[in-house]
Amino acid sequence: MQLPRNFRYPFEAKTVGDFFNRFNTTVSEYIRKHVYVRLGSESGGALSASLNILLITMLMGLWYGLRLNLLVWGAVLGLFVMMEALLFPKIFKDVPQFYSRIYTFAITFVSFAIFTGDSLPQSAGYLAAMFGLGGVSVYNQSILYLLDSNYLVLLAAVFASTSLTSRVAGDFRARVPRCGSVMGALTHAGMLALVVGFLLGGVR
Amino acid sequence: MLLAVLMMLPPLYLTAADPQGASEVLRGKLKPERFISRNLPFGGRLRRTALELRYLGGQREFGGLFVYDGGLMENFQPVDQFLYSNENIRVINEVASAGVLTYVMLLPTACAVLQHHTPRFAPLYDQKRFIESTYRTLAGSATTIDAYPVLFANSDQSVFYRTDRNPTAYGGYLIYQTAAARMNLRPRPLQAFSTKYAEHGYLGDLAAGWQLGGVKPDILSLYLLQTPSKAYTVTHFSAEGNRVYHTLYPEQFLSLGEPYRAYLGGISPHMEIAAKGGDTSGKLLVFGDRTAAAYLPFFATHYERITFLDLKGLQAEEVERIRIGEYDQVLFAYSLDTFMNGSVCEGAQTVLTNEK
Repeated sequence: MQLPRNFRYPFEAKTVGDFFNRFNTTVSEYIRKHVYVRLGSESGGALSASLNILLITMLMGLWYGLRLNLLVWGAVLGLFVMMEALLFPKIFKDVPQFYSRIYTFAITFVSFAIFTGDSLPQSAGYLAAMFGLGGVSVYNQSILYLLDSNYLVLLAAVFASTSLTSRVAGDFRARVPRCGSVMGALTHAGMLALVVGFLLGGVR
Repeated sequence: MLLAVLMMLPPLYLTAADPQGASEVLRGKLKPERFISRNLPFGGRLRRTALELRYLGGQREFGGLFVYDGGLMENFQPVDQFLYSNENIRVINEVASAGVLTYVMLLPTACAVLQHHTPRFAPLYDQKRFIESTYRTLAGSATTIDAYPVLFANSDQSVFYRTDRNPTAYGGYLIYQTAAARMNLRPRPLQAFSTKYAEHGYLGDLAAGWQLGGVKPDILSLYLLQTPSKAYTVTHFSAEGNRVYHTLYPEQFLSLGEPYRAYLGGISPHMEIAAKGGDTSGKLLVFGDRTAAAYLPFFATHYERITFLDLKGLQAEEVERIRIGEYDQVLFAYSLDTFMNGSVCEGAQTVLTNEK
């Protein structure tokens, strides 16, 4: 049984549009195929293309729940996709990979503050806190405590979100094919067990 | 077909493992994820592995408990700084204004005293500041007793248990020493007591259900006054029948699996300690909480009668029987987590009303 890949290292995306191609791909491909293409994609001119892009990114937001903040999350990212595809396509093609990745990471990272909230005011509160507005400092003792207590987990998460692990595993599999497959299966089983353990949570 | 059969196996297994839980899920009384988490094969082992990894990753706080050198302590954060404390202060002021010698002692919790054992950058509630500001509010009405400095100065000693919220018997001695000096008593020196190490494997309330391991048990020590010899009677009042012990330390509890009850037979909402012989005199009324187990045995060596009331666990009719005029001194002694998270002094007003 072949399962489709749902995430293709979205944090390695070079543009916000590319991010959508890598993030929850089964959903984005479904929406693209059944909505975007049927609406004529970019064939009806700039205005029609803009509306189509905005529509599919907003639909992507609504896929995660019927909440206003998710709709806004989709719309905000949609505006960036429109800018990349219709206003400055050449700039985004020519800009060095390093800078384009930083740009994409910053936009998507900030956008998740909108995504995370349960309502639009809550998301606005997160955004304000993120930028040190509303009397909240950009960093405080609680943040230092969280970073200090979890830095190894965070480092592991950063490492695991890149394609580096996959490349190392692929290389290993190519050198020792039989052993590589067994190791791969064991690693996946171990990861599954760990994830279940973390989901169970609780100490007492 | 095979896939369908395979997909049916996990729910069938879980239902067989916990039929009652399964029926609760069907009736909507239990969340499915909670049910699965409870009955998952090897769930306990997986949970523990995840916790061990978190610990290896630098995490030192789990479920509101800090882990340090084989010990646990609660990260005390008040729900609201003024929600209950203002009401408690008002009641204390009212009792104090009735002309009874009133003393107030707010005890810091372990995480304030043992700050050097808390994780780096851990945002701790400033208990010292709260105690000082409360004492300023009470100035002029009640005599305040600040046990924070003496506990903090001795934080390298065993002043709090590793597995229990309470101060140790030694911590209790330090509290008593500070309080006695303020309450016109001559505190007895530590040498006046012989120490008996009664239990070496005590695991307190913090250790109950702790899954990560690595916690070292505590030692329960009993401080026995050498001279003058006194006869003590500890009475626990209860609707189910009173319990009476003719010692401050009923050691039979050590072998009954409830070692902490070796202190006064445990802490009941309404207790009375009577002492005869030697230099005992006066009557003390204590409004307090579970921390009393640490310091009351020392106070018992001074007073003819001590009545202890934990107002949270008392019925109104029981409180109505107390007459404040029968006592020479009244002590409000609360751990900060009790004082700030509940209306613990409310019933003291009833005691005052009884008198009128």
